[in-house]
Amino acid sequence: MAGLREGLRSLAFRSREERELDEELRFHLDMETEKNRAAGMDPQEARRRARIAFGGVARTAEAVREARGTGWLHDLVADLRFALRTFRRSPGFTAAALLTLMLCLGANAAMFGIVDGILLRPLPYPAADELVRFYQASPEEGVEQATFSPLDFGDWRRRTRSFTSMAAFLHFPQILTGRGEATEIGADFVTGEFFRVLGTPVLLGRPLDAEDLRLAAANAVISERLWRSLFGADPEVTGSTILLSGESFRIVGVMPASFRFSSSDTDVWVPHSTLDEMEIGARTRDNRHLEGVGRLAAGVTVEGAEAELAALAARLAAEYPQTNAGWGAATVVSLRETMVGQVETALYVVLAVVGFILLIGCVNLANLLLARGTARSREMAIRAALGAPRSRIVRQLGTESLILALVGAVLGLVVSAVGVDLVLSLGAGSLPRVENVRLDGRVVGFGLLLALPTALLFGLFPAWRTAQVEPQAALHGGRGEVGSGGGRLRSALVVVEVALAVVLVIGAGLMGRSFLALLRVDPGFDPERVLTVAMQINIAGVAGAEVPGHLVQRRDDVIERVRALPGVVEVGMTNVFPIQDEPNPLWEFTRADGRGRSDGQPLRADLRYVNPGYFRALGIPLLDGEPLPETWPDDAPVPMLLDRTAARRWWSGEDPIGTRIDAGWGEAVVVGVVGDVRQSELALEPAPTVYFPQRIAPRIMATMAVRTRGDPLALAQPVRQAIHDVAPDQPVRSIGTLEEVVARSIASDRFFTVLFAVFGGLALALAAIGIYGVLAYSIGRRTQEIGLRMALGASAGGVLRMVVAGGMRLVVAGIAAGTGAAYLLSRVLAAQLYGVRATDPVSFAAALVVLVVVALAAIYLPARRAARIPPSVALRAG
Amino acid sequence: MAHDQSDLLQGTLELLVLKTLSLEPMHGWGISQRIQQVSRDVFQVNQGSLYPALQRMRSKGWIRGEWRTTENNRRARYYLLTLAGERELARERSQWERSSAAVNRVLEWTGGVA
Repeated sequence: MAGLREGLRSLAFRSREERELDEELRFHLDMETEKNRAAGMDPQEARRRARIAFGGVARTAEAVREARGTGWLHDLVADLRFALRTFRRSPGFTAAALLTLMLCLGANAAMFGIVDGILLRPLPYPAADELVRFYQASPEEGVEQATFSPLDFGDWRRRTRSFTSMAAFLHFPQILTGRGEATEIGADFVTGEFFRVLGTPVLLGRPLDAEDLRLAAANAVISERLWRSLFGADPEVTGSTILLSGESFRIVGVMPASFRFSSSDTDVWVPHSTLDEMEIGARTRDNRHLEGVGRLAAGVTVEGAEAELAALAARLAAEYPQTNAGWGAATVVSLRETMVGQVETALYVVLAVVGFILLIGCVNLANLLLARGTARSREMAIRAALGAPRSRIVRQLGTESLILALVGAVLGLVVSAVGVDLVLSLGAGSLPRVENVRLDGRVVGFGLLLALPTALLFGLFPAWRTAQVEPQAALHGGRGEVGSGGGRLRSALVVVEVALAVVLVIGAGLMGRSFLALLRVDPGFDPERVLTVAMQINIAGVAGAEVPGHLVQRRDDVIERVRALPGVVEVGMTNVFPIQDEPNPLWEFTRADGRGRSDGQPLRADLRYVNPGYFRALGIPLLDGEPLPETWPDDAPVPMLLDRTAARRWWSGEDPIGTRIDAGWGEAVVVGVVGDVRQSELALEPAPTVYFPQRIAPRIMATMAVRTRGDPLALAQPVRQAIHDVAPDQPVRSIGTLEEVVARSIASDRFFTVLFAVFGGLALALAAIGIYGVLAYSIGRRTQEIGLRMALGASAGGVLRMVVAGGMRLVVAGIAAGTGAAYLLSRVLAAQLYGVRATDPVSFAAALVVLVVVALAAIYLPARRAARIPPSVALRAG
Repeated sequence: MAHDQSDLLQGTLELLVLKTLSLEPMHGWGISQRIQQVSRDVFQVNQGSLYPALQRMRSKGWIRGEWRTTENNRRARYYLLTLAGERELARERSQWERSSAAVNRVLEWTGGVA
């Protein structure tokens, strides 16, 4: 320890040490001079004598410095110097090694940074691991995460003990008026404990509380974003008012920008009790529109809370069979899981993939070093002969590896800075929490620390092999192999890296096939040349009783005006748009004849309110019967459409046309059957859906599908203008193409597919380089032998075959091992795959073909060189 | 000038320094003077070996340096014996005694086996 301290001190405080040494030696001289003067010499002579007696201050100082350099530090510095000299002498090797390390370590640092930011960092709430989301569930319908009614929520909150606090909310965008152009902003209608559950402190003012809920107080908390854009960050903002869909709310607080919960576009929170029946419907137990968030009590697990909530839901289902039958279950999921659960496995798989890439890179480097070790065997032999202990040689070579790894890691961190941006822009919209991803000390630390095992992995073994040199043999033979079986070892490493590459290429193949399958899915509509225009009808300033009439009128006016635009083929409108919007809670109804379901439960379907032009605009085919009529007699039942799945499930074999439906509010009649539509996700099988004319229950939400003759985006501005012409205070939430909507919905699949393709390709390239390197090297060493074979009559073709066969033996062994490993590992991908099994034979076969082709190319180059070796080399002295 | 004076053997110097410092802390010049005096000028301590030796012994933790003021009010680096130094002194001393006894026996040997 003393040695270490001294060594570090002598490095860190060199200049102080020097000053002190100077002073000490000067003191000695002075004392000597004084002694001479005391003996009667004159000052000058005394000084001269003293210097003579001392015998050279500089030389003494140098000797002290030498004594200071403690052993290991001295060796390290020497090793470093030597390593740098070695690198300068072999720039090709150094560049290849650094490039490999830079890519491999860079990819790992980048992926670690992403995984760290998205998965590892805690959520931005105090004690975030206590936070959970809870849902009502219906095992009968196969629905695990459904919304619930305020009445059920009230019972849950009162009658459970698993939570310290529970809150519910409805995300319901509102139109902000009275401050410039009318705009739509994200709004959450929350219950009293909402802010207490999440625990994030307000930036200004106070959060909403139970009292606000009880009084249905028109109080609002706004986002920091709105506070800045609308109020110029006015510190006196509390007490100001904002108009939400015509209602005035008093601002009581501001939440910081870091507070994102239901949606990133949420700008205002208001008490849930300020919603009236007009907007959310009757206050009954089957009006399920709330989502929940709660904080678990100490010691309660997610499973425990779920069991308690499910038991209560079952009791409520028994108490209120009218509304709650079939909803006797609940689901509780940690908040973290709901935020990152979808990408968690995939991200860890990609992290494992870059780990594999690093392994392949290490194998390549180990091979390179083994080959170099052979080339340096003479150098090592001389050093051993001069008395260098084996451990010293290993250390010397280890130092070289460590320097390479560290420099590679630093370069890699530069690469990762670019890589992270690249990956995140590729994953934009499909990755949660990307705002947490940053290259900070954690990532830099990881990148540098990773260099150590990396150096061990690729450096230690070759160093040990190289140090096994027998001085005599190496010096005699001139270019004798280091130890024995060096070639076999390198071959084994090639097998390993081919196997690793096979695993990654098969993974990329599976992801690619899955993505292609997703692209081939028929969504049930034709997304080409359709403009989607999302909006909600502005009801500001409309008296409550007149709202329904206003909604119908505004919808009709907008549809009429847009349909009149040149280039528009048809205009469809719906309250819930496929793919883009979350489906509403299931609607319950029964057949008037009581059939359809034998267990007496109501039929449950996805219900959408549309205009008659909706199906033509989206290209949804009418399979049977009539389309929805524009009008029908007042005393006639309301016309409705079924989709094919609903017709098959509840009218199996019968003709549904003309069947009466008990809709709860009256009677409806099935007039036609339309094609199935994938309403929520391309990957999800269509669920039963029914369509009603939108005028029977006018909704605030209105999204248009505008089918156009040419480029739909060319109509974006005219459509905007047409809506503005209808009503200047009618804002548009978003405008885009239906193709974009579909592409966005599979952005995450595209993202992971691209990542796999890139890393699979990188693995393939590295493996090819590895194969090439080993063969080229062994051909180089076997030049004489091959020349001899030629001289003895072997044909060029024969030599070519021999080398190719030798190389392919390794490749085949690697492919066999890799295929087995991939078969075992592919199940972790299963959840990411759509339409292909994890053991998809096509992906496996394709990967093998790709591997063989690339390997053949890598083998062919050195093989051809071997075939061109002239026999005369056999005659030359080695 | 240098008659009847011996250069110190490597290792012997360290023993003498340790012994000197075991009596009291002392600066480099003091150590050289003391060894010279006590050995009645037999040992001339060469500064070119003394200071590197002090540095080595400091690295090994046998002694430590400490800046103090001399009687004449000058700053000087004094060296102090550490516990490890005391142990080392004991060890080197017994070794020295063993080997010098052995050398003496050889020198006094007059033939035959004792």
